[in-house]
Amino acid sequence: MTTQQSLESYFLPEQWQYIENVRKGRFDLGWLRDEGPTWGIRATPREPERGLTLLDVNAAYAGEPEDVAPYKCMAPRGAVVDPNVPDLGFVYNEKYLVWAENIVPLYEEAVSRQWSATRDIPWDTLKPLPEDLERAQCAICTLLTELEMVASDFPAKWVWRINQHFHEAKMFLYTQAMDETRHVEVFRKRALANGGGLMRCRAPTEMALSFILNAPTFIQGSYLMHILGEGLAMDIFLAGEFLGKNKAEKEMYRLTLQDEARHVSYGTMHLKYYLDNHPDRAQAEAELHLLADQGERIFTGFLANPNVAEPLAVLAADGVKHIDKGFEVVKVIWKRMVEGYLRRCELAGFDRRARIKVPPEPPY
Amino acid sequence: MVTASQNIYTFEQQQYIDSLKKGSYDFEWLKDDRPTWGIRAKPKDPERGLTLQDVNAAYAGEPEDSPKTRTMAPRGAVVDPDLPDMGYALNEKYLVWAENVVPLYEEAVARQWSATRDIPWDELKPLPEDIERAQCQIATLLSEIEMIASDFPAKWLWQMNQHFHEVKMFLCTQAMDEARHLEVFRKRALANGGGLMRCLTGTEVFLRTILHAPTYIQGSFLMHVLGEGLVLDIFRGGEFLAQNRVEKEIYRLCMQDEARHVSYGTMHLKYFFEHHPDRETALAEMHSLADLAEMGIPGFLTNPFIVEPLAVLMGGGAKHIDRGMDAVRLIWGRMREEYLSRCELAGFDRRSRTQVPEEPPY
Repeated sequence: MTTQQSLESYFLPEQWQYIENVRKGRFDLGWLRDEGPTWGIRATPREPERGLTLLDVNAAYAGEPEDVAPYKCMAPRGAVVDPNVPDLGFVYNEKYLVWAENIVPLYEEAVSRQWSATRDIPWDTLKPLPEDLERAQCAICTLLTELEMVASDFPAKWVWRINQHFHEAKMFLYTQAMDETRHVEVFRKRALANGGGLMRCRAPTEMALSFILNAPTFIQGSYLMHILGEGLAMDIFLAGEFLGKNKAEKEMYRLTLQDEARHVSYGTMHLKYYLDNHPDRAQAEAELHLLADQGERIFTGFLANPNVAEPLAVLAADGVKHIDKGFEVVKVIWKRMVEGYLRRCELAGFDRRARIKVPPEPPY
Repeated sequence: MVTASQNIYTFEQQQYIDSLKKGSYDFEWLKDDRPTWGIRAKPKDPERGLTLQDVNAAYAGEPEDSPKTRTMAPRGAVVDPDLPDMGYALNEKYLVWAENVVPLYEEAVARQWSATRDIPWDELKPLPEDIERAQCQIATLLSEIEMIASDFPAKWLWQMNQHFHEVKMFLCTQAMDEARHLEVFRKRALANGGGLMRCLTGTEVFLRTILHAPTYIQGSFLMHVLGEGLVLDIFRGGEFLAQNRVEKEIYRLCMQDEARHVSYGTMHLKYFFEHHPDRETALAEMHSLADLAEMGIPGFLTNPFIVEPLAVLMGGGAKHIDRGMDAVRLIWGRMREEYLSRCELAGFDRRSRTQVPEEPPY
């Protein structure tokens, strides 16, 4: 690349033209004179101590996404876009397919509450446990390590197909992927840190995970994952006070609970937005009811499963000798899981009370 | 009214419920002698905490080259023989791995920051219009391109076998980092009396090439080694681009993140070549891709919507754009050299093939 001619042939004609102009000291400066952009925006923090939030920025400019995204490119919402930008192939271009009214504050909360499984768990408070308790904790940690990553994989599968116009939904789903990856990390660490080990993974659990990951649409997968699966995991984390045998475990359940609650909250409010804004609500509800009739079997997969119910009972009762007492706690968890789920559905405007086949009282 | 129904339970579940009613427990999980027992991972550095390196040193720390299972089971767990196939497409270590991925993950989690809290937004002061426009044009561009580095890993990570969980986890940190970059540049564009500027066709064409690359290694080369490498060189110039502490902090924090992503991409490319069953063909295919993709470097730096705002910021105003162009020329040389060094580190010699001019053409 030594001659002027070969140098010129390397560039596109418009690039070469620009190079020649710059060599003569002539700049384009089109960007400086451009009258397209809306100018004079000055977002200010509503609460200066907190910082500049996305809510502040949205209050200042282009804060409300349109129902149907005007472009299919990566341009930030509210920017000026060249008329011939290519289509990036997004398939989720309508707001009701991805949005939730609480998405912006949920994103801000997620970013402000990032934690570290290395630093923020007091690992030095772990002390050797009797074998039954260690086995029970390791069985639960193995299960959670196994199922938490589907809650990273599922949003990852869909998020890149969501139109950039709804960037807050995408950004929130990325915080979820990050949260869940940290959950995999913390439960793996716990299983391998106290004289126990990783236990057994069973076919029915994997079938349920496959059902979620391979759901044919985002709303179906979101219902299965956010409202059902993560809702049930949240009910286990809520019992962390009983399940944790030391400060390390209590902290692990407390921090994961905080994250999980955000994901469940997004899923619930997304379902509400989806149904409220669907062009054929009755049809959408009917389809989701059919899915729920099958999906609610995830309940029984959890608490009519000896590999989940018995370790929970042993932990709750502080040992295998008192497993009967522990099952009283499992029965409470069963009732709370069913009721919590039905309330989430209700909040979303999706009435499952009349259709659910899972009994409100545990069958044992 | 809710009614209990037998048919919600599988046969095994119903049997278990019947046993429980008789006070009989299963306890298979408690008696199971298959799991490896007695593992006690210890922090190498207790002040730092328990890292993934510590855990990997204790048990199942080295992934196999070709795992037999296709499930979500954690590496090292006991797996039932009848687990379903989750449908992963990337099941071989050389297709995803990098030797530095575990420490990079730990670093990423330790260095999470908040665009709301960790940027001193109250220090923004009105700027002359040419400077504000230049900063907003660059912030708009970065807001546009950063999220492709979330979308690209997302597209592939769910197709990676869970056996390589450290790679998937690292890619989740990258996706999160880049979402925060979009956030911080959008905030900057809208916080100081300016606004979001123009997005150009050429940029979007390049982003589409990355997102729709037909294989992970091709996209990773385009994004981690080339695209993010170029952006890293812009962030490195942050000291000159920034007009205040707010902007300096934005560029500094983004640079930290971007350096991790580039580092993974470079070391992944190295691992890919070193373990590819047909290294020669792999190299030849990658050279063909690089011959075209490197056009991105001059494409970046002959685009007036990128070059000129950079020159205005580095020159201290439109009046001094000539002085700023001297700095742009330095960036040209650095982008080319750093890119070639990354390729060299990965064992991919582009020095003798690259057509990117060594000296800027202006």
